[in-house]
Amino acid sequence: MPSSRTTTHSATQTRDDADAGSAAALQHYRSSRDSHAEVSAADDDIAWDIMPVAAKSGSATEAVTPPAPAFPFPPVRWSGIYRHSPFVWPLPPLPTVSAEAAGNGHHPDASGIGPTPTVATPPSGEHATEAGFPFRSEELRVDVDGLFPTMTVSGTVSGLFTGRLTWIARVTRQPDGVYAGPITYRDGIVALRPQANVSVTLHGLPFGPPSLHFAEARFSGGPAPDVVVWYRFAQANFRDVAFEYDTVSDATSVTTYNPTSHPNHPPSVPNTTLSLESAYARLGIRVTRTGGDSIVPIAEAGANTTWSDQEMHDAMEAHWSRWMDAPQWAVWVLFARMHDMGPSLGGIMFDDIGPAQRQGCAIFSDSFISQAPAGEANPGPWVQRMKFWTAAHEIGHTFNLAHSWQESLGTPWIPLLDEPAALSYMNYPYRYPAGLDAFFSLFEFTFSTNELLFLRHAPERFVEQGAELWFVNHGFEDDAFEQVRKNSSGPLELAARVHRAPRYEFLEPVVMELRLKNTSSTACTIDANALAGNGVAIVVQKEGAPPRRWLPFKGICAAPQPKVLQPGEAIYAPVFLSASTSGWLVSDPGTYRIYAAAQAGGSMALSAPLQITVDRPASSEAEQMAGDVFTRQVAHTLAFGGSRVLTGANDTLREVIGRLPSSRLATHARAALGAPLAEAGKVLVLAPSGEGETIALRDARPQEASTLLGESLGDFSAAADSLGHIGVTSYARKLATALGEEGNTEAQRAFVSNAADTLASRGVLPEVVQDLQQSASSD
Amino acid sequence: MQKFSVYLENGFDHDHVTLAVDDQLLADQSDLSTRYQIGLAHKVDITVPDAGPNVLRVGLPDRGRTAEVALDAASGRHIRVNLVGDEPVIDVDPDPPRFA
Repeated sequence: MPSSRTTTHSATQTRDDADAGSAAALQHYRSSRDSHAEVSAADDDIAWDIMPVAAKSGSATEAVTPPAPAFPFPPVRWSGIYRHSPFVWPLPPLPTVSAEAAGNGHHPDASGIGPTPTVATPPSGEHATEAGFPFRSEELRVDVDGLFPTMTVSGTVSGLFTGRLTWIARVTRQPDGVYAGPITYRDGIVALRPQANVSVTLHGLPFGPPSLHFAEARFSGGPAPDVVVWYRFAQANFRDVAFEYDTVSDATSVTTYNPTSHPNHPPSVPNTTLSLESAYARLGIRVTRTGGDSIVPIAEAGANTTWSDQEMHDAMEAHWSRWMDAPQWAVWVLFARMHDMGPSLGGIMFDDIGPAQRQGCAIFSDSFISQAPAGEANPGPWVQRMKFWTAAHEIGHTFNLAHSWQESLGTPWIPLLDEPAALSYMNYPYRYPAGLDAFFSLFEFTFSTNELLFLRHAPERFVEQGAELWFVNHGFEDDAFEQVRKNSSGPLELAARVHRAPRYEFLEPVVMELRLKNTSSTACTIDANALAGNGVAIVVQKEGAPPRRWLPFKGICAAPQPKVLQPGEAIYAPVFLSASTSGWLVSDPGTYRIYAAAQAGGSMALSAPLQITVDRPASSEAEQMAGDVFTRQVAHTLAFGGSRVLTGANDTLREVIGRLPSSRLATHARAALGAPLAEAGKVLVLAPSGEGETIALRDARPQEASTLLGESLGDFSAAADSLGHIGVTSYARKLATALGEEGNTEAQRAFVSNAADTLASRGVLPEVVQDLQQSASSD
Repeated sequence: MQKFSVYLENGFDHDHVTLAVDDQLLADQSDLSTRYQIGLAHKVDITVPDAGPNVLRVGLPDRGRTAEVALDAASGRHIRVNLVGDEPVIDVDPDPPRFA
């Protein structure tokens, strides 16, 4: 390790005071360039941590140092992403210290006066659950300290059924330590957060882990009442992206640079080797490497050995381990020797080709960036610096950043002014008004505030590689479901599934099964009715059509019935998916995607989407029956497994049996007609006068029931395919009952034995199979 | 013969551009747009007689605009054309422009 060296600066102060100090340094550099200035070589092997730390009033310090001595303690850094999702509370009632008491970044003992501990336990009342409105998640991005804070708080609200909103507020620190400001930008559904202002109080133990940091955001003003939302710290970085570096066989790559290796630099730059990854990471963009770096044969550039944009795009498709023509947080960086344009082109974000753009860029090692000016005393570091700057610059384009002097062009995401004097990766050093040397005498290896605002806070679809087209909204968004799903975590896993190939005959009802499973290593308690009624949300989306919410025909209004789910244990529920109170959702031929979510055990679980296909009508008979089948009465009858009173629907089902006897709908029809006859049942009867109602008893008709159910379940495996495991088991019990009522015990035993064997072979839980067997033996 | 390079840089948006020297048409390009990631729409290399004077005329027929510059290798061989509003603005540079 090198000897201990510490460089500390205030970024804010550096920028404000840069001109005077750096002008002198620049003059010194210029005068010394031709006189072989003696400059100590920087140690490129230095690999100290860069530790952004906070200072008061939003200024930033960057300590470049080996691990600091125990005292003074590094100030707490609060910036990062905080998340709220339903039911993160209640938390252990930790005594916490508010950010104000901790000085928001300063060790509270630094002044010799200890903090005043304040209890800031997040509430469990209505405020805490506001953002936890069912199937909704919120993210809060706090950008008020650390390195180059933009003094911004922004957020994304994602609702499963309500869409998404990104809002942004520029904030100032109030005397009480609260960060407050008006919400000045919204993209999406404004109603998700209609208030005009936000104020954020940060809570947490000054020496506790960041995971115990909380943000309390009060939204106020505007057309909606005030609301307070609590968020828990999730991560310090604002974005996560993966880089891959591929190098052409005749080229060299430069992915690192020590900003002090060339003597012309501001005193504030980190005296450490920056990699492209750490250069972005220090600005809030966490970078991982794909691990797929490789060599690209020069032959792929063609006979001229220089690269066209199309040739580079082809190479990207061939060599990038993460290649796909779709949005993803990933960048392919090609280090090549020269572009077809010749040495005038130092690098390019070449990927403005196709629907998913901004995924690839290239840096050309034999271009002007490798030509130090005549008389340059430090040509090696000069070239290294230019190559590193070029790589960071081109990668910046993949994030949809424009050139600094062209920010007002195209379609800016917010009204922007050009910044020709920006000390930014996105400005050309040689275009800087005072020239390249002046640029590097002030450049702090960062982006401008506007660019950092965009990188950290703009809607994801504007920034993510492959999403918004290049130069549009310098800036497909994950849909809201995926966003909520991504932010959900908990012990429960929800599966939406069918036990068959997901291809359905036209008119065939779709019965889906929900499974809610405890995938954790500890027991958890849920409501036994978690998969019934309003605890579950289902959306059905036909390809090319808007999504529609599935709403059950019946609700459950009951006190929670606690049920302990042991690790690995699950509860199940059938869903008659084809129709709901909002009509028939699965009817026309085509492809459908089904999304399901459930709230249970204090967390939310979302299923992976289920995709099913409905075939075209197999016959004109099927097509003709559609109008009679796709009615509310038939939907009710099929969903409830039969009806004693909906005679019109029953007539339709009988017609189905007559006209489409071998169809899978006929399997459902026979079961729905037979099941009510298997047992006696009550019906509500209106008096002939129309006034008054009575309850009447309908006798069982076991012979008819066993005939219909027997035909329906004759091919038990096929019936299980169409009726679902839970449904077919229910009907099997009724057939067993009917056969028992008839006194046909031999047929009953034979049927139950076959049914049990079939269910067991299909993986149905042993206790379910045993229960069916016992129900037969008890009759 | 003298060689010059003409760089059609910023502001071009599906433009029709002509380059002529002393009424001799040297280039006629349609649908030129600036690629803002490098700040360049198109580069044209031209060759003109040693004997001058040679005047380069940049025309934008669809915009009804033209601009002229006298070509002088001593002043620079790199001719940069930028549109400011509708107006073509020409700069001459001894060094090739640098794009990234």
